[in-house]
Amino acid sequence: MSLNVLIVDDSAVMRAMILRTLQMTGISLGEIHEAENGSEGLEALLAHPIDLGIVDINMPVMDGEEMIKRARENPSVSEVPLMVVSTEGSDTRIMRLIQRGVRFVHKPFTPEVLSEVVGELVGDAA
Amino acid sequence: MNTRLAQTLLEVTEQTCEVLAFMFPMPPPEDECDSDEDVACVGVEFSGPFDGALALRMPEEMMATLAANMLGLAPDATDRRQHEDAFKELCNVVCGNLLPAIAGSEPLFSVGSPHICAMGRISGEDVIVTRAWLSEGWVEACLSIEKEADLPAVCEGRG
Repeated sequence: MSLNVLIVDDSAVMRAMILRTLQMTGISLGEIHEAENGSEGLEALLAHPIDLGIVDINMPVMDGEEMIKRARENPSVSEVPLMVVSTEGSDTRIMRLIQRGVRFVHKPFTPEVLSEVVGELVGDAA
Repeated sequence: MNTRLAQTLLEVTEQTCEVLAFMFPMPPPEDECDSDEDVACVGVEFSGPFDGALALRMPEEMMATLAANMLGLAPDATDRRQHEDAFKELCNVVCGNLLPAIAGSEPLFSVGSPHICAMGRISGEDVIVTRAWLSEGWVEACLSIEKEADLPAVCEGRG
């Protein structure tokens, strides 16, 4: 099965880094969708069959935490596996995200860490 | 200058450059005098228990290497937009890692969007400046904190 992935980050370079890391893991990738902020990310999440969402927190227009909150409240996408890749350093905010069933990877990340968390999130689907 | 803050700033900058862009810390050259190379600058503001700004400076020509290393491309395969985006992301990650290193992991900070800025945007007696020497050149980090009275214990050892 190929994995349809949504990458939401306001940095195009970071989106490319994440995609490159995913390609290096050997996971079979299907459609790749990218968004520059949470609003566009939510729109893409609702419009496409996404198997994994990778979301930054600190973004203009709509931040990642708000995007995740809205996604979790929407029955049509509430079960989509989501992970946050962010510099966020506040335990308070990280705990809020984890309570929404989101996995957290801290920037800067190594390919090994990102691969491991992706593997845990999507399991046999990858 | 607050020597502990300066040391923290240096360590976070070096570690971020290493993990994010495979630019490894090097000892400073014996002759540290500035050359007349063009320098690029990026800045970001933050607010929370204390407010402030962080700016990074690096030689213009090093931005292509930064972007290339982050993207896994050859430097001449990258363009100006990618150079600036990579530099802004470096600033974002340094700032994001610096704040909990200074304030601990409890406080919430709001970090703005990094932007390319004019050199010397952050100035004044209270600005902490440190330069990381790297395998590809150098990155200078300038930290300005507005409400120093609110700084936590890590900053008490003022040098």
